[in-house]
Amino acid sequence: MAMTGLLRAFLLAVAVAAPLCGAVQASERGARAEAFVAALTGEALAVIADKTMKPDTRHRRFAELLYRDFDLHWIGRFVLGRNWRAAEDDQRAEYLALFAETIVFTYSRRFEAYDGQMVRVTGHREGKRKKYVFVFSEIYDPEGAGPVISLTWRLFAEGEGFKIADVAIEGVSMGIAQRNEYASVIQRNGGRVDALIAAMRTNLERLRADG
Amino acid sequence: MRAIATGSPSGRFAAGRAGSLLRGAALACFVSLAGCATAPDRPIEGAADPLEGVNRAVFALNDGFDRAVLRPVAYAYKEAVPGAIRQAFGNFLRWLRSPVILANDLLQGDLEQAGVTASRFAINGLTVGLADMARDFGLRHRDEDFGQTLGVHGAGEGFYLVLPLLGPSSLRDAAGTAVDAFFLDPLNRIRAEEAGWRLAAARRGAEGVDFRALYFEEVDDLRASSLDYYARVRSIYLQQRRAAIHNGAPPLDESLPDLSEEFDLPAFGGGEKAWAETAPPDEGTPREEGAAAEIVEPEPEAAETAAAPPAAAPPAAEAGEAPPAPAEDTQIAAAPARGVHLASYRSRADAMKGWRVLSGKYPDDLGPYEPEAIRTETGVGLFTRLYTAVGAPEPALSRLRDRIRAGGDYAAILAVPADGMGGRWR
Repeated sequence: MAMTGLLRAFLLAVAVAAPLCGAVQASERGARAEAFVAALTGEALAVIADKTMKPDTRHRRFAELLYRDFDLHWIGRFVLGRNWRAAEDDQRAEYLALFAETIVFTYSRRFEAYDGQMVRVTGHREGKRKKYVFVFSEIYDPEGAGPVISLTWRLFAEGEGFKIADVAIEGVSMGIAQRNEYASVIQRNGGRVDALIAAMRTNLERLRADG
Repeated sequence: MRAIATGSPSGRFAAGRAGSLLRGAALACFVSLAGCATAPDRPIEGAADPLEGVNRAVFALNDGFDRAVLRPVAYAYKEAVPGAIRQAFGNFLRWLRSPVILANDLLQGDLEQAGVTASRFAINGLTVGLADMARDFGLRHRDEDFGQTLGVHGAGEGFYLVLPLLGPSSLRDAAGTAVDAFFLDPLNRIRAEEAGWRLAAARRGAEGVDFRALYFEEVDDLRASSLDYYARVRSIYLQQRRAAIHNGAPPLDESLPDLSEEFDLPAFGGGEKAWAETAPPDEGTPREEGAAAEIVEPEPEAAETAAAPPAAAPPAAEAGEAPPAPAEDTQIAAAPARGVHLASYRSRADAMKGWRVLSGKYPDDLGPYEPEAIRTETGVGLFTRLYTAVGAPEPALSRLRDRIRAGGDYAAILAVPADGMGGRWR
């Protein structure tokens, strides 16, 4: 009888511990995800805020961060949406290259307007299927004056670290916005991916020229 | 959102007694229409925009107005007026919206937020709204309008609308703006005839300039870096409204759908080759894709089927009645994996479309399984066969086959060749 009692206690302990293990694992992942975002935003702000850096260098450093922490291939495919399947291999390759550069140039345009804002991470949440982790953060003005802007990051685990799949500003997903836009461009050009690629090329040149 | 600004004769008319009847009728029309707009919002698929032609034209006009008038005014405002004063003026404009916000808080049943709004109104009222002291007490400004109220009560956006001067909106939100302006905003009820409307117009104009000045570079950047500025703004607007209805914290798994549902991408780490070979599956509802999927021949497999299989599954696809499949499967080397053959197609792409249709029709049965498209030389030509549940235990295969047959579609358990010509797509 004592043995059965012991066995029962052991089984109970295991049964309870098992879900707890999962929970501990999840929150540990969440904490790592928050640290990941905090580190990235810290590095990015350091690059942006450094007025002594030459524009070329700053642009290059920013691009490095982007390529390192964002899964640009995944995002590019998501943005292209259903048209990815219709695209040929060489179209896909060119699209992804243009996409990555467009992202870098689009966001690095805003460097000049930087005005001392900071970013703080405020929390996280696991996605429904445990595939994604959402990290919540805010852009705020340390002076206290301007509006507080919420940034939500969607991450998935890659090896020991993470990759960013999407960023939402005040609930507006940048990935979805771009996806809707590219779908519209393709649709208005008879469903041709080539038309999108041409438009991206023109746009990129313009962004480059603007400096 | 800026409200209706009419300094026109109809405005004066509306101010009279007959006018209130007119406004009541207009309200009833708008609200009932907005109530009918319960289509679920679909940010991933893109907006419902049946009036796209008209909308683009109005959008172009608005953009012209922005370049010609609003932007220069905002620029002058930004350059000439110190930031602190602009901040104070912005605070004042937001403070003026308190009654409308409070009314909508209550209409949404959000008593807690109503308390916040009322407190903000009182505290900031000490400085006539110029200083946002309530914020230091942790009471943050949260704008509400009747469009959001309708959204909270389940009204979908209806469809996208671009309003002249007022900019992006939707059927629901335009109705909401009208309700706010005509009914909920006490400031618009100043019955000084024309002066009342002029005041409302001036206020809305000021809000426009304030907004434009605050987001001066952002709007310019957006315009410059967009391939399709109209489509970009449309997506941003509709997403932003959804977020606002959920008060800035949209339930992430719905409004920003958990993408793993649509994108079951395998883990990365294979480098260039991996992403080249693994493409994200199609989005879009299976039923929409059904029309495009060509089922070439659901092959009756003589060895497996007792009765002839029914015609092709997706409603709009055509089914060819193929001759009985040759017995090539039984000639394959001993003990190959077995799977459920669902149909055959001309191409891999079609096979995947077919998978989308079928897995949409049988989400519970097919959900756990992956599709496999295998190029197979049959007696009648080279086709791409769609298999699933390859290697699953026999009881599972039988159950799956029976369930699909019960749904009126073809399914057969076949041996799956280990090396189909052209490789497998997963």
